[in-house]
Amino acid sequence: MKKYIFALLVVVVMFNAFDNLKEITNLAIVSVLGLDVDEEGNYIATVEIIAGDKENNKKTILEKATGNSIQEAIRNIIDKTPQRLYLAHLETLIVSEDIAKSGIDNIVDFFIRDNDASNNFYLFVSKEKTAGKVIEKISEQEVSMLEMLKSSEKYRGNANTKTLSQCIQQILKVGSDICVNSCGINEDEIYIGEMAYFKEWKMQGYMSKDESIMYNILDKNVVSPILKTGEKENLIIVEIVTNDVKFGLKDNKVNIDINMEVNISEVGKAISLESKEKVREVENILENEVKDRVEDFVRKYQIERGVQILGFENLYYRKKKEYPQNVEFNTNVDISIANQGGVVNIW
Amino acid sequence: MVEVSFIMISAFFSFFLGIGSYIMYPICRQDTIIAMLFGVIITYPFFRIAKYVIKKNKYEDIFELNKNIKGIGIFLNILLFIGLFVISLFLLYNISDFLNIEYFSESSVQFTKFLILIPLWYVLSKDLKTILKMNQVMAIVCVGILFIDFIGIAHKIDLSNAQPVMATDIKDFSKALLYLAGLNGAGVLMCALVGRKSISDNGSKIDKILNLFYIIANIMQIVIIASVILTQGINYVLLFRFPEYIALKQFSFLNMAERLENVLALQFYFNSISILSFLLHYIVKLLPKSNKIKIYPIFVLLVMYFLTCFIFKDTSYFTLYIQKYIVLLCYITIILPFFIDYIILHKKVNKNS
Amino acid sequence: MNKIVEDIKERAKNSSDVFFREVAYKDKRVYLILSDAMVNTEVVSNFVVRSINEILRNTQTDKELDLKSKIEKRLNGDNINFENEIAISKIKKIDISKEDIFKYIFSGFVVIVYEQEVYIVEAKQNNSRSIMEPSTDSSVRGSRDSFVENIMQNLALIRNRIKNEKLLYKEQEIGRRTKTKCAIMYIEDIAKPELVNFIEEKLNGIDIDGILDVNYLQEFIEKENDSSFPVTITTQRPDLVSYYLLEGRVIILVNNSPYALVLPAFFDDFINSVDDLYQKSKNVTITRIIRYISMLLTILVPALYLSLITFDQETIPTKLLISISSQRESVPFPAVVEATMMMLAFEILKESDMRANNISGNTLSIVGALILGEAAVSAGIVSPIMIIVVAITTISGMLFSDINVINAFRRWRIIFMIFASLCGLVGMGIATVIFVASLVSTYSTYLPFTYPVAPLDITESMKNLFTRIRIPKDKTRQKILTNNLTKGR
Repeated sequence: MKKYIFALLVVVVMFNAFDNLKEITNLAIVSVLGLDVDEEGNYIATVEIIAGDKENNKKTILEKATGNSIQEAIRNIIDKTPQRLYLAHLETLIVSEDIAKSGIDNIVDFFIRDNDASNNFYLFVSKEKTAGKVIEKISEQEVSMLEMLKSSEKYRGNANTKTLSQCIQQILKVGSDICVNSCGINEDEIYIGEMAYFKEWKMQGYMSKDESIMYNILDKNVVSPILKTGEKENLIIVEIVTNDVKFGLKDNKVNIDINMEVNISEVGKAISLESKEKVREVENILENEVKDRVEDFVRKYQIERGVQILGFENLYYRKKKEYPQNVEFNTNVDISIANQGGVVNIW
Repeated sequence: MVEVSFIMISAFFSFFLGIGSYIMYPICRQDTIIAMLFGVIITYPFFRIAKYVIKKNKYEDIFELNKNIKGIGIFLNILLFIGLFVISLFLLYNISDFLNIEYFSESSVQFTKFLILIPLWYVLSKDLKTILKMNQVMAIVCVGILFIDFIGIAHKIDLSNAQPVMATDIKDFSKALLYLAGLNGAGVLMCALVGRKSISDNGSKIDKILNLFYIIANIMQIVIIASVILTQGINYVLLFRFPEYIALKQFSFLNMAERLENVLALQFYFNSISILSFLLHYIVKLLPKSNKIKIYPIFVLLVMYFLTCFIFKDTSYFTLYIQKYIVLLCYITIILPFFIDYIILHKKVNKNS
Repeated sequence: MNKIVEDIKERAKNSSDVFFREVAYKDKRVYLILSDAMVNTEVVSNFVVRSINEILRNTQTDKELDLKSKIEKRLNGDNINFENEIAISKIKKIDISKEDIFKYIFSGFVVIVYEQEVYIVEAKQNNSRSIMEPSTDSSVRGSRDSFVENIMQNLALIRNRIKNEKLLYKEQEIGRRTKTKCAIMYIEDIAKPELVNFIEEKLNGIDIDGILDVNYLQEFIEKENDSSFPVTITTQRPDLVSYYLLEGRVIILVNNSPYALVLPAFFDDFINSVDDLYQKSKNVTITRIIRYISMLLTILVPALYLSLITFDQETIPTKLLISISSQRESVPFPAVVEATMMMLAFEILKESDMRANNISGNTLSIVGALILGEAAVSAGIVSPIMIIVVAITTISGMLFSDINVINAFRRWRIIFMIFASLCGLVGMGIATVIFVASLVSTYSTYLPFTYPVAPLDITESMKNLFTRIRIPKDKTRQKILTNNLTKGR
């Protein structure tokens, strides 16, 4: 008899957990969230909610609300829909340029402490005036930003898939900064644009398209972007197959070693690939081209603007050395042509 | 003998996660991995003490051995009792804090303590052999889950997170090593609470088995620390209260099974319950019995519940007490009595031979 | 008339199947008492009555004997020696004041009363069925004979397989009114003496009205621990029984019951089967892994579904979550109520399938499954994902044949569901702790129930837990069951 009374008491005590119970039908699953700031300093939150109706089709809903802080702005959306917002399946977060320029550390605090979100979503900066416009377009055309991002990284090379927690880890390291993707609207269509570069928590500006590709090659070792040199008859277009970039310190100078293997896509009429020496010539042309581009890139961002997007200061910190005022660097590039596309000589 | 050695694994886990690692990260920063490697050597004297006491203790447990020592025996028993009791208070609050933050964020801490006390109340009604066997099964399950974790996180390891190597100065490093030795030493000496009479074994392979499990438990600690620091970088780790759970959020196996941290973090829960049931069994056994009032385990559990409500009103109290007091407590109340036992047993053997 | 026969007639006056016959020759009278239902009338007519007639008439006349026999006859009297001369194989002389005569009458014996001497002669009729295929155990490749209700035939099936004089058969009678024959069998130099003493003590202490089935004995032996898992194996196959005997276990057979009881039992005996010895050892590993996975599935899946739907939705992938959410829009009940209803409905179906006889059994279950599946979904009472969960549970549960094991799993499934619906994944953790603690604390006749895993024994678990050792390499017996470790001796 005592056993049953105890069991009953146990069950009654455990009813306290029902505060945490969330029925599935009461949840609004958010897939894209956008944040803006208006003139008075209030936050505007725009969400895209996915729901399924009875025949299992997906439909998306768009909502918007304002509030004094991010938490309040998200809560105020409840005025419009009766369901509670559930951020665990969030895929992308779009931030307007104003917030990015004034520092994203205000936003990051909310996401680290929030219990639902697990911080494996991707961060975008919106090139339009507000993030809300981009989200309206997304929900109108029902594109999936995640798919666009992944194929953009794989085939174009001007985006990187770093989740929010990885970005925060990189900012918190001594002497390294991040670059973030951006998105915009061009003639009624969404596109993924160039990367925006940050210094500590604040955004500084945009890079150009080629520079975005160069950054991704150096930082994340992406493959399959395309390099192009020369014009008309001296045209060489190659596709990168494997890519290995190493940063090191030698004699207190930064040493960049690049090893690439490429496939030839198109060549102009003046280039011939018949013999080994000629192939070696083509490789030399490519190596010089890449070396120039890398040196321009590094000089422009690392040295003139002092943005540590490649992490030079972190390199010195890790080897316990002082970061010198004028950093010097060497570049060694080694390209080998793996595959000529099966054609030995066409011209 | 094997089931007593599994207690070493459970004790190493649950003393370390949330208590030990939380002390060591701010002091050694990224050299915690190297500190753990040194910790294997520093804890070795305590391991020798534990092995010697286990081999020579022919009574049921360490408390009966102390009762047969003239003079300071009762005093040693009181010290051990206080040590075990306070450590179980800390462990109880630690695991209920973990459950409250990560799983039940909208209920209060007082409720999640009940979720620990309910299975403890059931397990404490069984005898010592059952508790040892349950500990063994839970430890095997936890080692299996740790293996799966490591496979899922290993692709994010970045060795540059461990550099700069040995950037902390020697004074801080040796202080951290002393802390580590205290906690791990207390973990090893948990095995020596059990005497030879409770184990049904001929004892021919005690040395080999204990050495093997000591190495396994240390390797597991090193694996956990490596996968926490090397994947995330020390500055990110210092933001959180339970960085091991945050490290599990990066689990991704074949790009398919993601966000499984809620299921995988149950290994912390299983470990804590096994070691708590072991400690509480001895606490209930040590309390003086009289014919009028029979002490049920439920009374001890309720006393612990109310004590943790009053002592630890908040997480910040708890972290303060950890950083100041717990290592001192381990040294005085657990390591010291065993050390005295070791000396006395050594003298007895020398006298007899 | 004979006083003994008068006494028996008085006691049996209301049972009309007790039959009295008098065989007389000159002044010697022999009385036969038998029960019509139990004896084989052909044996009685041909052998008993005829040979009594011959014995009575065989007392030779004086003329045919020689002098020595004549003197003996005068001295000893005219005694008839039934025990040496009757033409039946089993005859015994009993003392009527000490023994219960009706036990023998109703066991198929013929009672012969001659003056003050009482003899019993066996003339039993075989009333049980012939040896057929086992009804509850199934065998893929092994032999297909099974035990029947007659204890002597069961003994014959076992002796066919083990022809060793050390295989002992010890019989006793238990039950005041039923006087059922129960027997212990074990191989003397393999089984441990402590085990045999333990079982014999338990059996000697039984004082009960009647033993109807082998389960009665099972409850007497496992009185101490109340766990929901069975601690003895009941089986119908003689090759399984012979395998266990050679390992050193003890068998209990009960008359009128086609099941044999095997002690001690360990947890992995309920999951592995002896058919694994008849297949190749490499493929058997995968089969065993599938069985263990299905054991975990049948206990955990409903609880896992409940906790993922109500508490921890972030573990589910996004697309599946959207699909589940759209399915549950149309269901009016919360998830807990729906799950309970579906599990209850399937249990009712299973139970009715077991009770119904063959004519209506199969149709009912098909109709029930169809109704529950299709119509309930389109009526909007349950969601399709719940049907799949219940189907996985039931199909995994069908892998086990022992009814006690299925019921034990059902009990633990309910406990897991209760905890999961209250607290989510942490509730499943609590229930796991309680489940492991309860499994680990059961003892099967003083040996631990979870033997190779819980007091960990690596060499033993390599042999038979997941992988099966090849038969030519298997040279030692289990240390926990026997002292005689080397096989082939």
